[in-house]
Amino acid sequence: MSRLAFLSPHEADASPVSPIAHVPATAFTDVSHLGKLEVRGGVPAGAIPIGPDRALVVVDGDVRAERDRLAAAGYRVYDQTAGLAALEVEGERLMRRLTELDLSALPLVGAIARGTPAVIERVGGERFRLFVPQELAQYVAEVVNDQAKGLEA
Amino acid sequence: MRLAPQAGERIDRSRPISFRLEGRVVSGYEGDTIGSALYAAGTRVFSRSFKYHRPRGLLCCSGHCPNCMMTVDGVPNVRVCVEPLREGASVRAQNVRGSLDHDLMSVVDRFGGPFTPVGFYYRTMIRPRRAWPLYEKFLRSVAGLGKVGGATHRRYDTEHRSVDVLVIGGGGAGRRAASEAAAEGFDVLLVDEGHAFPGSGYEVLAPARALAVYEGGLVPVDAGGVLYRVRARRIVVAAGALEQPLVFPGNDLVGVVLPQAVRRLVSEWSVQPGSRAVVVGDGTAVPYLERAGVEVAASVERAEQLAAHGRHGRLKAVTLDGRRISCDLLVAVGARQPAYSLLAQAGARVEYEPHAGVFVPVDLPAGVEAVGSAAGTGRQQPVPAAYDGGSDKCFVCVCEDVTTKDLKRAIAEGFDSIELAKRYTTVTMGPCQGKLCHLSSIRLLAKELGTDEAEIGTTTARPPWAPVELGLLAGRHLEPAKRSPLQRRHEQAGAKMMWTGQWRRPHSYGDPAAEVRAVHESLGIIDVSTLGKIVVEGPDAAALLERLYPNRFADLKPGRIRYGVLTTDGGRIFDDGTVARLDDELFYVTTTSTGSSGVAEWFEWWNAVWGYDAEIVNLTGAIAAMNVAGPRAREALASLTDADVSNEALRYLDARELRVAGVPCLALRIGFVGELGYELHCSAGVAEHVWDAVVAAGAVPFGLEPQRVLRLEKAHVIVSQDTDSESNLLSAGMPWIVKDDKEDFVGKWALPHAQVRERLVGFTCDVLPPEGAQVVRDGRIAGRVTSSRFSERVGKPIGLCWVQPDQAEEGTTIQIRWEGDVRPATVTLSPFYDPEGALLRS
Repeated sequence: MSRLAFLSPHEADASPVSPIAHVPATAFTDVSHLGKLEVRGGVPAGAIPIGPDRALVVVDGDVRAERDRLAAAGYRVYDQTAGLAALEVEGERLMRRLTELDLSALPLVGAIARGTPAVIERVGGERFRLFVPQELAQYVAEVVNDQAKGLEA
Repeated sequence: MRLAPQAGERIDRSRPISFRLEGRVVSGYEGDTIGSALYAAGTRVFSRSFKYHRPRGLLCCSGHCPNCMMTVDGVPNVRVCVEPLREGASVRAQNVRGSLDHDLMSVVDRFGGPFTPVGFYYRTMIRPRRAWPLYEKFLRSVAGLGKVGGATHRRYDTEHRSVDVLVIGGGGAGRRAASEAAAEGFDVLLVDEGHAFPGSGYEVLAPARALAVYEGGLVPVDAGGVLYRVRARRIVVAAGALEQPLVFPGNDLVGVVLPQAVRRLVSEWSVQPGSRAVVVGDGTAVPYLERAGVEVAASVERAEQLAAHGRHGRLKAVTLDGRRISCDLLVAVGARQPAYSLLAQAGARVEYEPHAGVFVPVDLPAGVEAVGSAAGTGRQQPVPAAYDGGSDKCFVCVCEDVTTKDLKRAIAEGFDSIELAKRYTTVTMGPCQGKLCHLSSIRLLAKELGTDEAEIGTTTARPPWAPVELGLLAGRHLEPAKRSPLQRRHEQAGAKMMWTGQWRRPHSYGDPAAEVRAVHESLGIIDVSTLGKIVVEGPDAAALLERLYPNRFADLKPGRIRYGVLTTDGGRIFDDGTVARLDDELFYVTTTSTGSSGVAEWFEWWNAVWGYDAEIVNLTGAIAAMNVAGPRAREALASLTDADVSNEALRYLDARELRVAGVPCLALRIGFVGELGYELHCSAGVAEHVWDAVVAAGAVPFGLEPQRVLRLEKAHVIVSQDTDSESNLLSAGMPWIVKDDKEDFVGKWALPHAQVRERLVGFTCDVLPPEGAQVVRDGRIAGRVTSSRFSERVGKPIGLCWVQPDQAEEGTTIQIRWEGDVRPATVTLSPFYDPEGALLRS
């Protein structure tokens, strides 16, 4: 087995389950299946910087291949695919009800839904992607649904 | 009465709206406020005053004064003069015994005067002391500002905004400032209390009220159900000036109004405000009165003598400079006080301008500007502080019913500074927060004390500037709950859940005792995904851990596990867990459920201080963990993996990566619950698959409650339950952890100074004492019980408790006290179950 294989859901002979699979996705799209690699020792091209010499690499595809490629390039790589849930939401007003981060300065690391740590990026237009700890993902998903409901009122 | 349709009116006469006043149907039009519709329908008395229950009518008609506060759809203190009319609204009077027109409590106004001077409740009502609660209850019910109803189902939201320029106030000056800033390319937001209008190149938020200015340019804005937290690089205050009522006898009679009330009633809602008017002060209301067909009996810019006379609280006549004029409307205004409060909150100084008779803002802080009349640049003739004479009461403050007599009396009693007089009389402390009475009270104080207004000064401007519903400040009820990746399985199994910190965890699955037995006799599984999990990797990883922990890790062999306790610089215990060495440069550390982020930060901090090359990665969320324990644990694990899990290949305190049911796992052979057991750590995304497989192999899920019994049988300590912020390794009975011969570790210097005032020991007792029960010695408290449970295995209640050091001997009898009873207990120093740990190694 590869180093820290027990971290990676893609190493298992079982289908990964999203932590918000059971939450009605009324105001978000669940993209938790995306691969998320925490990289130490620099910020590879295209990655989201999350601290000094730290980055989050989002992978829509072969996570293991990307992990091995980054490791070969000299980075220390830790698979956070299962550690972070990912939600896509639409609309700046909704985002302004979720966070006080400056939306013109994304991607950013900060708090959403009153104190939940998150990595937030814009994926084009008014579409945003939120990466949140999976243990708080249901809470965040419910807050997103609730805030979206408030905007309809 | 409505006027004929006119250009610019806000009402849409083709769209009538009906609502109810005290159950009676009233109608108005789209575009009306509740206040304008009621006024058009003939309502003149809108409320009864705070203390004297005097009838009150519209005064400012701008949402400042308390006179039109009513209960609308159960929400108290709604200023109906600015509340948009909506179909079916139910409007009720508040602070009334009877009806608005006949309030029984108005006897206070007629006869209560001598008995209810200012501050009377501080003097007459405190004796006898015992009776105060009754007085208080009575006073609370007869005085006041409406009742908070039951739960309302209003929604409150919070929205964050970040702009270049925030303009507060949408009058001429505000609009001009907004368009200029927009033309320069800035992102501009304008907030206004009135109705919405299209901005030219900038965004308008209305109706909305800026509540305060906080540091960093943070301005909370109340927009009804939404609180906007606006952060602005530049704040332009264009809040205008506030028309100040004149202070004269009878100045609160229904029919005494400010010019803006006339202007708004006539031009916005086409309502005739009265039939015969007297105008005192600037003549801005005169054209509107004329347009509305109101006879203007007299209009003077400045009165030397002024008094109003009424019957049943309504204006009937005015005495103006010796002339008695009958009228039903008195439009009277004194100074126009610049609305400086937000500026003062932002840090501006406030100075008295004697030529205008108002306070003006000066020395504005950087990034804050004042434009228009808020800047206080206009000139005006000062008016008298108060007109004396007349038989009726002369109000300084209509919110709290404070009269000139009250203020004079307060001064006579020695409350002669504005801050003291304010607190004693409550002037400026009512719903208007001084908008209409702050200036008057200062001027009156200056006059009475024979000094000037600059000497008196102002009271401190504090948020909120406008009244705000508490619900809006509280916002949505959001309580973060952490969920394990196995939460669904617990819910499906009908687990009884309990809060532990932010986590919801299974207390048990129905029968804790049966779950304990399953672990002892067969096989159990518990979700321990809440444990903190941290990877420490790098050439210096071993050196880092060696220096962080009191015990030794440098000599830990790959594939082996050691229990570790973390202490602070002062040698106090703050977390514990296991450390597994997976590789020369790779360690896997577990922490307590609440400790993960604290420990990770602690590691990172020291790593940086010492300059080691080690990565610290908090993987708590990415990894699920479950403890599979019981005599059948090995057999079950063997059935799920190809790896050799024999006692020779996977020894007690071995760590091994293997596949369980096709899922890569890190198996840690440790024994928190005292039986042969394996902690399986795997990716959170596939945790359910592993859980299901182990359960299918015969494991009985057990919760926290049975786990607490099991670990107590082993006398295993739970950090922060059995220890507190004062506990050190010696007092907690873990001297074997400390490796004194190590050159350095965090907390080492404190060890020689460590005091052992108490010791943590086990005990047995014939009756189960509650956790927190006192250990007593010679009638004095000598310790406490930190954990206690009934153990079927031991056959009696067992527990852990703190005792005095000389009692920490095997077999000592101690006394435990709870609910008045004192019972003997016996100290036990070794685990209650399998003291040699033979089962763990088997």
